[in-house]
Amino acid sequence: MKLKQLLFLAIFAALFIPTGHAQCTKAFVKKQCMPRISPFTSNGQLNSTVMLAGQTAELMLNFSAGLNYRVLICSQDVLGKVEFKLMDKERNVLFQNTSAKGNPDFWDFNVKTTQQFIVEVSIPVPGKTNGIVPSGCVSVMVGFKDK
Amino acid sequence: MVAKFTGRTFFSLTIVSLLIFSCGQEKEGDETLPVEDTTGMASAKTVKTANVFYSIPSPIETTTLLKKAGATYDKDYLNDIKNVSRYSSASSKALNLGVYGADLSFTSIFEQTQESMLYLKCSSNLANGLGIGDVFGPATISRVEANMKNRDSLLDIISDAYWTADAYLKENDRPGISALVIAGGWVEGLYIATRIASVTNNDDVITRIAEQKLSLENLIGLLENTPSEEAIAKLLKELKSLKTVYDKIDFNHQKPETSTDVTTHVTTIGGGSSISINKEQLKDISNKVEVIRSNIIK
Repeated sequence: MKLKQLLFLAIFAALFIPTGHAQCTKAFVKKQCMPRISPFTSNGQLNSTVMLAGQTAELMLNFSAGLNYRVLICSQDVLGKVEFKLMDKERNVLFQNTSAKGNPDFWDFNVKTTQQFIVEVSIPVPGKTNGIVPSGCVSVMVGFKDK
Repeated sequence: MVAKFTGRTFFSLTIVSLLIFSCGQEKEGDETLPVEDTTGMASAKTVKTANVFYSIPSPIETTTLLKKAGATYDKDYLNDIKNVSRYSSASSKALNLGVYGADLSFTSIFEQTQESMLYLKCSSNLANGLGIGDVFGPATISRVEANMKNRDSLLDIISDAYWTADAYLKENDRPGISALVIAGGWVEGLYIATRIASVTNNDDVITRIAEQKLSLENLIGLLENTPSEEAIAKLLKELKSLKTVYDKIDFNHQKPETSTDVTTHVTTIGGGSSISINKEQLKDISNKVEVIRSNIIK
């Protein structure tokens, strides 16, 4: 009985424990993400989290008239092509990377009037998971530069 | 013999798996950012619904906008560097690291070399007191000295230092200190803007002050999602009082529309919001923010 219980435990753990290097270190973001915000100046805040396939996260942001902005979604490869949308407060979609040419992981833009937007990040569910759920670091970087 | 996968068995296995998983989390130790905690989100490992983060414009961004709006430099707007010795608690150090960060941004935007070095040293002093001294240590000071005549590089160095400090605090499970640094910088930026407005009556600066209504909402969201502690609760109360004034400002939202310039390929988001603020509202905001700022720097 004990052996069977242990076997069940092992199978259950293998099926439900997420895998992947779910490390979200300062070093990862600084090395892999920060250089890609250039030539924009970072807003000085770290917005990172470990996410699982199928999860969604949102970042509330303000953008001011008179500056150019870059929103960059930087993630670990294990998560695949991360999807992101930029929406207004009424959740009207202004940009969706999956609809853009080349499925980019950043968007450069400016605003005519100062506005509050939502960046929604979604982690795709891989076609074949074998019960293994990938997890990894996702960082939303925001940079600005003078027009 | 076939084992029955009963509800009880499932429950037991779930608990055991979660325990195993939790141990896995802890095993990552210092290597993993405690990001779920820093944002006040529920664990990203267990929740499939949306997690919400808040981001606040940096003091560099705010002071860049003030300069574009026609603001001029006056060192009397800034927190006196002599005050740095007053701050003994971790929360006052954090708030004033934000305040001096905004002052450092202001001096740097206006290329006030000598003042920039003084405010950098204040930031270094407070960062040392918070255990994040390396961020503003000799290497950063040398980089700043070497780039004093290159404003853009200087701003990148300051931004990088504050980003590293924020990341360090979050990585070391100090989300409250991180939030207070951000809040201190925001309050100082708004205070400087109100001082400029009172002296110059510059319409663009006044508009920038009104637009902070949106940032204030996000700042309150950030602080509410941060584990509660006395300094955060006190600041939240003051900021919510400020919000009651901002709530009176008309902010008409229109559906934004995007257009891309075929030559430059730059996308512009039009529509959005129109905002109007009257003199009385400006005065109320100025008075409120002055009180909040006085409580921070005292």
